[in-house]
Amino acid sequence: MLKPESLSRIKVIGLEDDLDVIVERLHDFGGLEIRQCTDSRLSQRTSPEFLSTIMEKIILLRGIESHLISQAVPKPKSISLKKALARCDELDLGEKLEVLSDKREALERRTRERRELKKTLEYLVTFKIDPKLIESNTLSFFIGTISKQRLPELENTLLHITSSIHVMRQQVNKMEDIVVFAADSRFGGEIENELRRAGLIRITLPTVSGKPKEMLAGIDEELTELKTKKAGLQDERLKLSKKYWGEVLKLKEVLEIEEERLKSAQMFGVTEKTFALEAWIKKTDYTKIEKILHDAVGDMVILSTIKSNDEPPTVYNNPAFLSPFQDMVEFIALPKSNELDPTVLFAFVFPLFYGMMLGDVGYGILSLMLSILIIKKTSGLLKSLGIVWAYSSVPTIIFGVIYDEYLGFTLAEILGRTIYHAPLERIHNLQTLLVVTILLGIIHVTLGFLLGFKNAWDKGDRTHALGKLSWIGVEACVIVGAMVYFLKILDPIYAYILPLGFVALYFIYRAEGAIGVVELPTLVSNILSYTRILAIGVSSLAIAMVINKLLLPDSSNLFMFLLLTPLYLAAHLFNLVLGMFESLIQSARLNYVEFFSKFYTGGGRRFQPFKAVRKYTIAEGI
Amino acid sequence: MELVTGLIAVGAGIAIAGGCIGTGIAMGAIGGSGMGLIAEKPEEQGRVLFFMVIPETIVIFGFVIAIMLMLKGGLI
Repeated sequence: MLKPESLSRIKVIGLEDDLDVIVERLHDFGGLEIRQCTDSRLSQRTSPEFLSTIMEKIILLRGIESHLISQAVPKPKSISLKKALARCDELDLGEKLEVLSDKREALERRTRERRELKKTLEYLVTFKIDPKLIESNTLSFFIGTISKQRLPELENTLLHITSSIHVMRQQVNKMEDIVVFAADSRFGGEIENELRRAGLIRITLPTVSGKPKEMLAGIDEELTELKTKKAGLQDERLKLSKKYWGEVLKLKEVLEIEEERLKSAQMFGVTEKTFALEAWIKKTDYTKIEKILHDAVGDMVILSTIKSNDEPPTVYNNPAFLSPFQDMVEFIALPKSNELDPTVLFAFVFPLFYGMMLGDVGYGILSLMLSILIIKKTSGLLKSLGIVWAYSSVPTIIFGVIYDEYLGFTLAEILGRTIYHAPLERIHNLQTLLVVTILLGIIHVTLGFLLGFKNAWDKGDRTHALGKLSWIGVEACVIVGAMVYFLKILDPIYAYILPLGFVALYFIYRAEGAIGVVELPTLVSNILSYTRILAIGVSSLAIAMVINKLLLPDSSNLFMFLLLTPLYLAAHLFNLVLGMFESLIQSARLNYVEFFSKFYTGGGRRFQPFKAVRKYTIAEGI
Repeated sequence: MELVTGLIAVGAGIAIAGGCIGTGIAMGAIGGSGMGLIAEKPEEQGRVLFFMVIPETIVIFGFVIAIMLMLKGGLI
């Protein structure tokens, strides 16, 4: 758990004739990450012609899929590649669906045109404009929408151009009016320019033959007919979808799996009669793969482990319930495969710090309920955070009992009698808690240095490993110095170990150069940073106490009770949400900055398994 | 003695205020740049939020000094 899975690089050498069956079995197994064959004695395999056929069929199926309406997919079953290809040729859906789509687009276009015309005719009816006048040569008509604010100025300007102008207007909404300008056509050009300058959005008047009211009735009939036709097309599309949707998805899946297999084979090295593939696997999977290969082709295959200069990919080695914490570690970086995976430590320390900060039984229970709601209603990163909050609410409740905090009250205040004496009430033990948080910081930072030492030692870098240990030496000297000279709680005789700090300083300089020495003061700031556990906790408690003092509903006065209860609940909810977010961010920050910086480099590459992802089909032979 | 207690309280207030002002200035600068990054890459908002909280150590220093002053002065 403290390290990612151990991986090894393997080489599989087999006969060219057995390539397809070996690739199929390994793809269905899904435990390899295929890499480019690095053997310079072998040629690179070229892309098979068959691949372009497969890709063409996939494009065709994707096109069909985009035209169908999604349906429920029946139970998966196996289809062979041969059958899938034959079925693709038999399906003549492509043309049928294109015709349907063209018809649908034509109907949509006609519907849009009729609606636009209907709108324009409605304006003509509203303003009682005789369509014959629009065709007249002596009058120019302009109709459009304009903002109410600009209209008075525009009317003024137009009156300066000609006094024979008639304006009709009607409100469209609070900001705009629809306006009709009818004027002597001799001034048409000038008026048009002014209207454009004023920002009038023109509505084009159509040539109308007949009475607008009669035409409107005709358009309404046509729109109803178009709607019926569209419904008919949709029914036809739905019928085709119900018949073919499942089949199209299954065929597409089979072909995509084959496409992936053919593409992967381009990474193999080949001779005339043989092929070689290289891959990363988990060391624990070696025996399984050996069995798969021998079951497939008997003894006509060689499997061996090889050395590689490539950085292995990373496979986590953590139980499933830690995956939300894994996501949080990955927020900084994926661990490299040869370094420590901090997920387990993070999963232990993060809720502890969170619980120490929020530390309230009432808030713990409420945050648990809120987290369960978040988990049920969301997905992805938010769901992971919900799970982290749910885990962290347990130490919150525990620390709430230790601090004797129940929504800002003590238990004695709620029950009216003392049930127990809190081991560590926050408000009255600030000094103790300050020391506790600093001690936590010392322990956590020291642990970080120890892990840094282990990382460097495992990689064979003895200088850096010694450098990490030396940081602990400097840390110890700083603590002893503080206890002797500032706090005066240690015998001055201990001051004699302080010169060892210079020895540690030398090893730090050797490992990290002058920058390491310059960064010495950050040790103090890193440790003091942990006092935020106290600061955030006390501030949350102080807000809760103020809410209780000012907004606690008084049951003796009904009016005040009804007024204050929602305020009281809202204030506590606000404090809860603030506390949850602050505790989450600050606990994470303490881990990421003060702890991870001592040993964690990250920058790993995720393991990409060569795996047949099947949702609608099952592998043949199963 | 009352003057001393009062001065200690003022000192504690200055310590916290100084930390808050420093943190505010730092977070303002980071937040402004962070918003620019989020406008171009919305998927980075989590990382930006994380970088924004890094300067909060400064306010913690102020808090620690204030607490130490108040403890020394018998105010808590």
